[in-house]
Amino acid sequence: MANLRREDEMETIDKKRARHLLRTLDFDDWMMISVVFPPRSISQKRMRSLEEMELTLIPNEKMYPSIQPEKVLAWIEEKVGDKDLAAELEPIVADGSLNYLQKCVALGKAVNRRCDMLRAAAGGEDA
Amino acid sequence: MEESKNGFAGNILHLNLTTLDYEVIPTKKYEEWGGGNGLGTALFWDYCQDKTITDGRNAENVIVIATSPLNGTSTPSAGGRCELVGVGCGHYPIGWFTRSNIGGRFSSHMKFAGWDAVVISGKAPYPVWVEVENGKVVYHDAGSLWGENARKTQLRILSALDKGNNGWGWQPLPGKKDETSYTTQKPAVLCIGPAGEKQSTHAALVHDAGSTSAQGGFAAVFGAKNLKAISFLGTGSIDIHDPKKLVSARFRVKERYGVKVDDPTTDMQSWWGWLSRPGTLSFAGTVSDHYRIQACAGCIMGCRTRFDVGYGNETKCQATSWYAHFALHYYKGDKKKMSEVALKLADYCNDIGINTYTFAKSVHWLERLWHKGLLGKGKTIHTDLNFDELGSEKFGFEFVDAFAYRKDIGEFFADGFVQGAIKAGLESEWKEGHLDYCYWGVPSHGYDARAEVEWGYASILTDRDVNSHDFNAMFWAVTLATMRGLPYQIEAHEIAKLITDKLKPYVDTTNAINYADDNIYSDDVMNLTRWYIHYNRFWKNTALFCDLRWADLFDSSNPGNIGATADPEVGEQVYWNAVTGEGISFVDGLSRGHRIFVLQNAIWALQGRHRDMVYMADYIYDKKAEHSEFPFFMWPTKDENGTWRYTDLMHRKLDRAQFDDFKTRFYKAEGLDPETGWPTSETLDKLGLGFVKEELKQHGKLA
Repeated sequence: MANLRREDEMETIDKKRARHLLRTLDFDDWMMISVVFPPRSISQKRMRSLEEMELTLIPNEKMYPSIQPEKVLAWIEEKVGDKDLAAELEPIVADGSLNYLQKCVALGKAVNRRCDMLRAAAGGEDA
Repeated sequence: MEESKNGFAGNILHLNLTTLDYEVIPTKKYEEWGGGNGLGTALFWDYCQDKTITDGRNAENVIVIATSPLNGTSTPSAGGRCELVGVGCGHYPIGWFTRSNIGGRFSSHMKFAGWDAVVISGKAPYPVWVEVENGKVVYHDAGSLWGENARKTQLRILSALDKGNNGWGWQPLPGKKDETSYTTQKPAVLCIGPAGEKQSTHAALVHDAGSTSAQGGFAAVFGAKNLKAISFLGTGSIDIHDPKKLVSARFRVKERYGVKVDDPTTDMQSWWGWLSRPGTLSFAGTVSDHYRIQACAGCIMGCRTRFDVGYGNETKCQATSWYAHFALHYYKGDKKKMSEVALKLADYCNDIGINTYTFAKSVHWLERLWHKGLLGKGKTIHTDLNFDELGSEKFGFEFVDAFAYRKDIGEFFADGFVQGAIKAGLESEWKEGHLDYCYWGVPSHGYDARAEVEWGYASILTDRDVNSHDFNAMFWAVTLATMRGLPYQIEAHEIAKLITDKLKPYVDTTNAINYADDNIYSDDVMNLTRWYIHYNRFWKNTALFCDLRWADLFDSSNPGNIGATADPEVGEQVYWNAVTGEGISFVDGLSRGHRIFVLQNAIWALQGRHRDMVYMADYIYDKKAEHSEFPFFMWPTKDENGTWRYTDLMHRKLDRAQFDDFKTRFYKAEGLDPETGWPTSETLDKLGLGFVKEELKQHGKLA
């Protein structure tokens, strides 16, 4: 919990900043993760933006995300540049009481909330 | 034609495409080979005059489509498989003598028509298709079919053979002694689409809606031989030595291991029960709640699905998943659209006759090249495709069309992705593992050879991706339980015992299942690998037990978690003996697999194989497996205190020198020369393979 930020430390999100955080990253900053289709094995997929990560983190009956939570956290902080979201995700990543899929769901919901807020600030989903 | 023997139809059809003639070969001479892979290999040896060819598209090549005694019977998950062998294409550096397999009902109708195998030699002077109805064999001009996709080809052949023009009501067929016999069955057709005609190594042979033979490149071989299709229709039957025993074992195995339809929980540690649930193998999800299951001939499960929406029927596994995750992102998480696109595209790949397997590890590599500026208009590799649209329905179809019609990047990579990378001066992309094609220039199956070592070992020590999930069931059961935070149904020490009990006498210790870093080059793992190869050569590819059901090495459906494999009441040998009347043991079958494997090594030696080329791609030894980012790749391990546990093995690499030493011990154990990997004269004599010695000697390949 050490990294939880006080409200006055949190970044102000204006339209420009929201659009920046939702941008498609440069290719070198894309993150390779995988999608698991039991029992077909693992298919690699590059994450190009925060919204793509949002779509991937929550599993469904056919597809599971294949991630290392710590690396997702680092990617959001360093490549996407969303330190506030990273701070929110950190305790989820550290929570030893969650199994892997529960952790993916919790991360996915947090990223989803953040993306909803960013989309609203950016002026719509097609920003 | 000869009368059928137990399990055998009695005759083998040799199609000489060069002369558009055929001969009938009595099966009797070849019965010792069993069927499928063994029978096909023996026939290849006898009928291929030049075994030094290194590309299956060479007119000297001979391919064999072979059934097993179990085909056309009610043996569970074996009645409908069919094996293809011959020199393939698309491998690197050499198109090895290799194998492939299809399901459906093609082998059943081959048997019902009176044939155990088809040997195909030569090259037709013009495109042809072959009609076989019982003993009648007719070559037809396929000029008007050339260019048609696989679905239309099959429909047009069915229409042409509908003699009564009654939509396949009762059809008259030539019977024995000038009698007429009748059937309401439709012909079973195996054919190629445009990609096969254009001899792309990415082409697939297609039978019915969703049975394809893709790995090995045999569809390109069909194309090179001007062979569009073969159709079988038969009204005969197969003599079974002990029908009561066969049916009894079938009921018993279904009772013990069959899917429990009243139990909605998905039991991942019951390989049989899990895979046989409707829709399980449609990996992109189901597009409708209204569907029914479909099975290959004789199967007690039914792993295919037919939907009421009119597409995605019988597509499954790889065909449904290779594009799904791209579509999911393109359509911004719309899972219904993802399923629709993935299944429509899977349908199209089967219609057009394309191998989706090569796409699983190449599309994201092409995406990398695109963004690195190496692929695009006027780039190192030119394409008019717009990879910024990757994931869209339109792009998916354009991408498949490029490979089906051998245009754009489909032309550039027609001989294979590794070959294309080298041609473009991008060999480092492969050697560094960006292009994840790790054995013989074909894609990693997704089960990384650095972690699941037996998969990699068996692939590189044979001829292609082994694609056999015998031990792999451990990975899924344990990894998925870990992901869900569930207790393991079977602990590591118990699974080691359960499995190694099935591997006797090849291994005598549970250590064979110890996947720890310090044990993966041990004699125990080496002997497990030998079992794995021999099992595949005989029980899976000769007797033709389906990979999605066999081997069943452990199974939580059964008390004690004991799997069906080698079981005295329901094991593989029970069905074999019930059908053939032989009295072989399960281990006898493995010994037959060894004999087949040694004969295949003789062919590979003639093709140019030497042990010095038997290595996986450089990145397997040079780089740790990090790419998947899968948080765990769980396998049983034993530590120095003898404590078993499941351990994440993703992040390791293989050691070249230790693998080299592993190979030396493997060759010695198999009776192959450790200096060259070639069969020794002593082993050939011991296994009754002395007939190959002279040809090996002529080519300086007899060790």
